[in-house]
Amino acid sequence: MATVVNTIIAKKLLMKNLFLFLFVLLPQVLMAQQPPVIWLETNHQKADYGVLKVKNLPEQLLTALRQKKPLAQDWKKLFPVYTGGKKPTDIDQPSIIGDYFITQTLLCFKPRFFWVNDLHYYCELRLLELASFVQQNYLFSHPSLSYRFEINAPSSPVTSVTKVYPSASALPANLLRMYVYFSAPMRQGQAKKFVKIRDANGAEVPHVFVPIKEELWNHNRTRLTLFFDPGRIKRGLRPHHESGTPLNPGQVYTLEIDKNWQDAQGRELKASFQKRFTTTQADRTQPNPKKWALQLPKGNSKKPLVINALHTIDHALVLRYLYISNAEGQEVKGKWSTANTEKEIRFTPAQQWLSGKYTLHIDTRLEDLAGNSVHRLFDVDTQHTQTLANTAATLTINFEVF
Amino acid sequence: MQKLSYFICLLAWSITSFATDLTENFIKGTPKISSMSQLAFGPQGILFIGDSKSATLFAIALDDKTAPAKKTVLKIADLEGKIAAMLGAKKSDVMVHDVAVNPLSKNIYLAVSRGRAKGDSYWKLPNDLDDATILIRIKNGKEFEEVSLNNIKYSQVTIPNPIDKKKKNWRGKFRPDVITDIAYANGQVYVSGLSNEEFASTFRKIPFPFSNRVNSSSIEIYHAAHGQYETKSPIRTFLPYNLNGKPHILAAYLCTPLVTIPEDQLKNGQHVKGRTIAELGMGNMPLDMVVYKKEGKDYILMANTTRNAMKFSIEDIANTKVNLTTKTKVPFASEGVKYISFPRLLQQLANYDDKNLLVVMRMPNGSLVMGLQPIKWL
Repeated sequence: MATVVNTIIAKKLLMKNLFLFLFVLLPQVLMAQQPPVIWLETNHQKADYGVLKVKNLPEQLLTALRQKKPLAQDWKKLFPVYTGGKKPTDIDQPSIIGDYFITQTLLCFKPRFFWVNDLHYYCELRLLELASFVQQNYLFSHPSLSYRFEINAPSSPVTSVTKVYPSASALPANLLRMYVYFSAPMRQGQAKKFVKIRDANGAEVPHVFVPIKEELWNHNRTRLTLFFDPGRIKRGLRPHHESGTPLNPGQVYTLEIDKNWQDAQGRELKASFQKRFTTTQADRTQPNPKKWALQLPKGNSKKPLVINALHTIDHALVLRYLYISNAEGQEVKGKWSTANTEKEIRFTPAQQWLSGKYTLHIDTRLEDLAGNSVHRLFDVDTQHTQTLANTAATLTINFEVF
Repeated sequence: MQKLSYFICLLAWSITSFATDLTENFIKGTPKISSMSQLAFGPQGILFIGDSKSATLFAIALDDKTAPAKKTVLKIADLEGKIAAMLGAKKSDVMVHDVAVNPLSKNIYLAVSRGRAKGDSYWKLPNDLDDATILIRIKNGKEFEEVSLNNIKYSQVTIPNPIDKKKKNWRGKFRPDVITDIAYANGQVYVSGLSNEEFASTFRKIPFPFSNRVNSSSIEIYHAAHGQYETKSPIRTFLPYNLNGKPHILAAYLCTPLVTIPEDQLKNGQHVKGRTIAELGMGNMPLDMVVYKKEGKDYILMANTTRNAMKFSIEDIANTKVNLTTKTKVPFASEGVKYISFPRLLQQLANYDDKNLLVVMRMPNGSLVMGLQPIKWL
């Protein structure tokens, strides 16, 4: 009987103690054991972005500090923040000036000037001195706590060269333009340094591009136009006689884009880019839209209109110099693209094709890779050669969708 | 008799200046200083701050009058590095605009800015690059601290008719030159700089404590290296000094004429012609001048951007009959009063005590050093 009573009492005691332990003692132990933590607020959205914060300091300590109001000269002994990323070796190195303040639960430091991107920082929270400053005794597991930090560590590269036009691997020796597409906006004024043409031996071919200080970029700096020196391409001009053509036929060349080129964010490219190409004889023929073969889409479809141009067309000018109108004369909205090494031009409509008559308008300034336009040849001996006489500003081709 | 009256005057002056608190009419608050272009100390530990951007001269009452307990060792090997550490910045971004020593406490005050990148000046002078907004004090030769200007006692006076903020030439904007140098003497603050007048080079005398009175005179000099009379280029650095018993202003200009101007001619609204006593060579900007006494004689040390520091004997300056009015015969050569070339590229100069000058110099390794130059070795 006695044992039964004893067990009941023991159980009751255990329950009571368990209750005490779980709800009274344990939280206190846990609270007391949480060591102070220093961190930098790195969330750009927050108003206190860039503030250095300390949490888990005993509440009495914070209250005492709030009452005692340490001055700047006190704070730099209690919680100094340094440049250099480690404990300074020079004992006279001044700590960073700024505001120290205490919020509800945090000790904070806001530098007088915002942190600098590629500097490393180091701070030291001297816990023992902090406690003795307010004449209190706390048991900290360490006499001080240090923290290294930096702002905006350089992010890993994400930008790359996505495409280069012309896409063919055999290009005419009198090539006039190349287009380099990037996946993100690039830093301007760097092309000369980072874009090179190399010959078969890997040597840089000098002065192939026209030096244009501003560089030829699209509006958001994702497409760069490389412009081969036309003065050297055109026969009969002085630069041509003095320096010859930039590229010679029957050679192997490599267009090289160095990975050290930084994008607009200051990140290097993911990788260097190379395009190897061979050169053929100079192209001295004009694109002739009258010979273009149209592959017509069906009505009520979004299939592209495919134009076989038989001749490699300048990629960027396709986007600018062609448009299609319907029977009412309104422009058909859609997207122009090139395929099959720019011998094929495609137009994909935004809306489905409706059955009816359409007109393809070709601005005669449309050029091939060597700058020969529908209107005229780029480089022609006018005394001995006759050119196609396309004096009209626009050529049209009518077609019908069924 | 003359000596006696001189002493009586001195005594009377010292009684009045020490008996009266010059900060009596100061107000308490936070002065709105936008650019600490120039610093200079006056009596009673009052710091004058010339602010070109807001065209205002401030007088600050510093609570810093205790003489140092012991002799200070001053040797800061990397001044810009120390300041950079304090501002959490890169060393290359730190710029020291001006340095002044508090004659009472011997603490050193520096006007400092961050961000040299904004500079648009050909001469790349501190004033032109960025606005100095930080006042730093070095205590005991090594303790750096920021001097808070919040809720202090101060007084201010507006510099009338400063050069327009938009005016510029190929070298950059003129506005940083509203106040090119300041000095306190004879109960007034002297201010050199540019006004918005046609004769832009202007010298101002501002009685202290400040009322609203500012006496402005335009200055004309013969610039021998250019072979012409000039009124546009401001005085770069000057010293008030008694030559043959009469107060004068010794002034140095860009490119590099040295000029004397009798102080009593500097009256409000007057156009004053200085006497060019030396042409120190083209392609140089004088940065700072101090006067020091060695073996009973006074000398001047002048710091330059692109020439060695130059040492002049006051005797030579006082006795010279030179008045240059013709073009220098040899380009880059000097003419007129002789100087001794002191082989240091000094950037800042200040009087420290009777045995030492405070110097800030650029070392061949590129670092900026602050230290004391014993006068006995000069």
